[in-house]
Amino acid sequence: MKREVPLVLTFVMTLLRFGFEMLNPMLTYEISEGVRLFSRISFSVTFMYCMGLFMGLINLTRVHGNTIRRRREHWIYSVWLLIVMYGYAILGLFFGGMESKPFTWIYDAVIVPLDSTMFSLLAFFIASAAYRAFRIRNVESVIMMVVAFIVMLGNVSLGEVLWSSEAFLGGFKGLKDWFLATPNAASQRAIGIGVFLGSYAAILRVALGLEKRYLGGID
Amino acid sequence: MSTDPQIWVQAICTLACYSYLIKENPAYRVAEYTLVALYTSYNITRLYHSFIKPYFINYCLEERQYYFIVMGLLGLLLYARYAPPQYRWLARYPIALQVGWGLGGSLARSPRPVFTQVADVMRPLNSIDNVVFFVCFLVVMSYFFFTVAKESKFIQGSGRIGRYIMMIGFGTAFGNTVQGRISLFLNRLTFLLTDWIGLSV
Repeated sequence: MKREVPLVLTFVMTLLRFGFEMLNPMLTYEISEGVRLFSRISFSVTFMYCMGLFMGLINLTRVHGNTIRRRREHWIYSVWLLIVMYGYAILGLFFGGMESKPFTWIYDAVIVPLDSTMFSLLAFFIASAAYRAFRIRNVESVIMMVVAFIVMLGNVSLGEVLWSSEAFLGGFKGLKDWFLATPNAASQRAIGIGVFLGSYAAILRVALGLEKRYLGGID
Repeated sequence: MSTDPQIWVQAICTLACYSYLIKENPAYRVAEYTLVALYTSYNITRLYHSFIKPYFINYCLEERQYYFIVMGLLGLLLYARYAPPQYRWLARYPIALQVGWGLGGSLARSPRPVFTQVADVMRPLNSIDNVVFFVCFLVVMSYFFFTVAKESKFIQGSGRIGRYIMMIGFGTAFGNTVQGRISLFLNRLTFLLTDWIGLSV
């Protein structure tokens, strides 16, 4: 009941969806005029898991609530996090929704710049991390750094100035295009096939109930 | 200098983030915690207004498809994880339904793009590029043949060349990633200099 029924449910739902995807009569079966059974089941499953929308809020409240209660280091930031999180959620849920002016104003003024700046920070760390991780120690790291250098030069106008695309081999740009289209594409295909075989095996293990960790250790 | 309060808030947020480059400080921490809090709330709002509210109104109330209520109640079982230990297993039911539905889709759909890629690998060997491409593909594949004994010099050699070819692939990915981040940085810098300070760059 606690473990067996969910495993059977997973298997049945896998078969059902697989049937819908592979058998056209199943996919096009209509429960009423213009209403497909597949889309209704799909919408209802989406509706079901969307009901878990407050899980993130609850988890953050538990983690930061504990930090505040125990007065751990930096607890004052946790207070700020909870105020902002609940304030913005209340604004979005009860005061005009996603199209309301205050909601979109905060989104454009805070989320957009913070998000892109956080990602752009990686430009600095990726360079220092690359220096530490790939210091030229062997043939592999030499190949990787040289290719990365050529790709970067092939994308910018400095590369065009140093070695024009009208010169021998098409310059940095021509070399970059060749790297992307030939050895890079070949290696990505081979890696992709390996990843596919591994993930397909994992999917089958979960569907057949051999892999149970997704159900968690709760009893 | 801009007089728009939204531009000022954007500029302060940007500078708060970049202050981390000097060292960890309260401004960066506030920015970090604010982003986590706002993203969580934003996604809650998005899910509610894009799925829960329209689905409930369209299907439950207007079309009287009452099984949506059953699915909604099943979805609420996810919160059983926070219940006393003897009820926590109830959360497995919605997870099992969702995982099963997703697996069925992956089982049917995931081979298609891979087969397309495999078909593309089988190019006619009528140019140097195509020959190089095919050889590169074979040597990278040979690197992943763990079931073949590695004593053979041929397998060892092709595996080593396969590793070098993969490094070319990782190098291109690395170069593109670094450039993507730098272009984001330049975008923020342009914003600070032109939109906020008002310089013409």
